[in-house]
Amino acid sequence: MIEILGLEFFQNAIVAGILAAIACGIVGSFVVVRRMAATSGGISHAAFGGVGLGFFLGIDPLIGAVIFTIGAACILWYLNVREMQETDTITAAVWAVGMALGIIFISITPGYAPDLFSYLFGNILLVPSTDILLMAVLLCVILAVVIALFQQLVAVTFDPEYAAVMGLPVPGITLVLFLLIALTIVPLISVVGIILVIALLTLPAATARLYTQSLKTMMITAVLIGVATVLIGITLSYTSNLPSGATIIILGAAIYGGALAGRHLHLP
Amino acid sequence: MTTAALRLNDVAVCYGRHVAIEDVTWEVGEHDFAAIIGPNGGGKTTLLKAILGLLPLAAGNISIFGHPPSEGRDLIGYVPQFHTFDFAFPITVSEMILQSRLPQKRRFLSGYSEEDYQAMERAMDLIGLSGLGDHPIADLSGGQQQRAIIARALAGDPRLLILDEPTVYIDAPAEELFFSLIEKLRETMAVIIVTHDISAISGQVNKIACLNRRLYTHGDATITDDMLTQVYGCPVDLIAHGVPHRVLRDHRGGRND
Repeated sequence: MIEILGLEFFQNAIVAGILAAIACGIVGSFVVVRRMAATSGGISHAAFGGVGLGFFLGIDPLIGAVIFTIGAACILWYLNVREMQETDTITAAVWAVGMALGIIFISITPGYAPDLFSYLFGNILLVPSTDILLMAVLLCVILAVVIALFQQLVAVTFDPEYAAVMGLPVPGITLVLFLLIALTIVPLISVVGIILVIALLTLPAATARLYTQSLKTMMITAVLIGVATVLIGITLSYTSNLPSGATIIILGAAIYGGALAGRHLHLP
Repeated sequence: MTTAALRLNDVAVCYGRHVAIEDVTWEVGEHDFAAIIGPNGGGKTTLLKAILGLLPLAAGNISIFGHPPSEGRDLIGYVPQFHTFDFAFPITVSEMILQSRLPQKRRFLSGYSEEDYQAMERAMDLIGLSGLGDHPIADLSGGQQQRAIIARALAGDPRLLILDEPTVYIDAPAEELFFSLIEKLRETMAVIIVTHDISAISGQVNKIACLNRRLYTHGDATITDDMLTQVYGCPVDLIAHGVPHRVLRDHRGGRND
């Protein structure tokens, strides 16, 4: 078991997993308290269009995914905030249109797209070093934005009307929140895949929420739970020869279930 | 001439082609305790949002201590309706109260200043929440949560306090405490209460207006039969048990709230 730690692919997997877990603990906490899981699902599935675009243009599919998640976040924000459209309707549309574009791009790309499955369900053991660099850059951007705008993000998430009365630019800060979700989803795609992203985004934060009293401690706890989930999940998937993304998600759900049950045990 | 805390001049607000409020003219002095009453759907929320600078005016103008709402709202302490809150949100009482200090926090990346924390402590002392700052709002009782919302407004050092339906969740004994608190606040600020519940109007109110698309005023703090007929659309019996006035019944057999 120890000797695999010396293998480059396994080191990459661990670094990628930690980067993704940090991003999802922080942004996932906003997703949970603001109830944006469906919006996140829409953005992550739209990323499939970007993966297809990547194959079609012969560039890194993860770069294509960044373009598509940012585009999807902007479209959802515009339709929701500016055009006052129903969130669930536009989320479903963006979700499906992104997937449809992905399939079309892949069908017009000559040859066969070999690792399509790993973009859908993740394969952290196949993450190349170039993607790790991209993930590190994205995490730095996410951290910088959250630290700089933390109080504003909390105010808008907690009570948008009051934030507007306070003179905060609520639509602008909401757009920042959407973009943070878009940037967080990209590293998560390598870890658990487009389809499983929302679970890793929400489960560690939901687990943390059971035991924390403020958003800051919730985020720190969610990061720790997320890192533990990913690392144990990678190890389990390697030793048991199971798909890594699915293993991580089921482990995350089990930890959430255990934490929920544990909370009932503590109470008199 | 002293500057009025709030001056409404022929204010009208429209949603598309629907006129929500019109011809609203009113003035609240800097030590007034004023009340706006009216049925639900009468435009109270619309007028509030206009005062807070959240809605554009179709006509007229609003001034808050001589400033337009976009600037003057820094002088307003706003207490929204209780039921709009997500009290399950993971936030402590002090974090919530400090939100009213956000506009003062101009410097990027800097935390709250000593002055912000002092304003928070003052507001919590005044309203009887001392020592609860580190508790999550979810752990407070309903009455404490209500007071925390008022404390948040007070921590911004307002000169005009606006409370939207403040007594909806306050039971009778707490109501007395609430109005004695308002009485104390009046020394330093104007207070406006907005409510559909005429029984919530305290005897200390010195200015009343009734809003149902238009604003009906009587100059002082009495609600006349005539005003209520105009506002609620049908005759309403008023019986004064001293103060406050209470509405016993209206002729449609139930208030439309």
